[in-house]
Amino acid sequence: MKRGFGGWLLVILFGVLLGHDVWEGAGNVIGKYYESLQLGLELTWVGWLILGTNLLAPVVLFIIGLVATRRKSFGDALLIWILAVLVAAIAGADVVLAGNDYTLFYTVTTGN
Amino acid sequence: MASDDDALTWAGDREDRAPNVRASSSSKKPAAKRPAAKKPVAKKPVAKKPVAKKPAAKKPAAANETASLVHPSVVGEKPDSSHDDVDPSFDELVQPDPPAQTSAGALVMYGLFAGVYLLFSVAWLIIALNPPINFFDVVSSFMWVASLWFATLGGLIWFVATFILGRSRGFGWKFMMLLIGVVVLIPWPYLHLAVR
Repeated sequence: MKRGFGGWLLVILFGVLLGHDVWEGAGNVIGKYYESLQLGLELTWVGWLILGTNLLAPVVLFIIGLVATRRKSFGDALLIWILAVLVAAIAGADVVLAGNDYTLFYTVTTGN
Repeated sequence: MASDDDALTWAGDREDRAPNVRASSSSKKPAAKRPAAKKPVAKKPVAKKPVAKKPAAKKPAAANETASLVHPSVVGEKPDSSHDDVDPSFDELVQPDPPAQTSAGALVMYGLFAGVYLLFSVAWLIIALNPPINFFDVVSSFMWVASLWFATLGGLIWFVATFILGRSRGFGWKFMMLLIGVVVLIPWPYLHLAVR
């Protein structure tokens, strides 16, 4: 048995949580892109990297969780999913709080 | 000849010979030959002579039995180690595979990681108590605050999960997991605030 009923329940539950992180990540990418357009600034490659990581990290963590929780007990699977959500939450908080405009945007305006 | 076979074989003898003996003794067909076969019965005492010698032949076996009662070390033989393997001790019965003891170096390393994780948790706690950004949407606000508190407990969760998931793995795996945890759990927002 690869995954029991409890295992699939965990997949759905933590899939919804990680899906919310993807939604937030997409919101961050779109918001920062429009912000750069309004300010007339371009996103740096570090900025794209941070925003891309914020968007793709939950997806990658969900895939890793799916693979890592195969043939695992319910307790072990629960722990792995908690770690996946933890990493996604920390990545999101890092981007929102530590990703300031100096690292996301070029300081030289492209409009002038 | 048949009586000689009877005298020289027994029921527990080789398989190929035992049926022949039984056939010769139980079959009624060679009844005509029986008298001829019974002739040597008179000579039985002669045939039984070796049987009478059997007790003499058993003497060495009896000596071996008495010798086996004496401890091998007294006789000069090496003690049979296979006997010890057969009878496990009480500790071996209770815990067949005792866990390998953690070395002092590994314990020191775990302590260092625990200290680093504790510092990270304190830093995340400061951020969670004073979140620089607030969301107006109820769901987003709840998820945001929950993620900050989740990050605060992240050090403890990661440390415990490493030892639970790695209970059957060695020190190297645990060390790698704890090292990855240090990289993942770095409180960048706190460092950002501290630098500013």
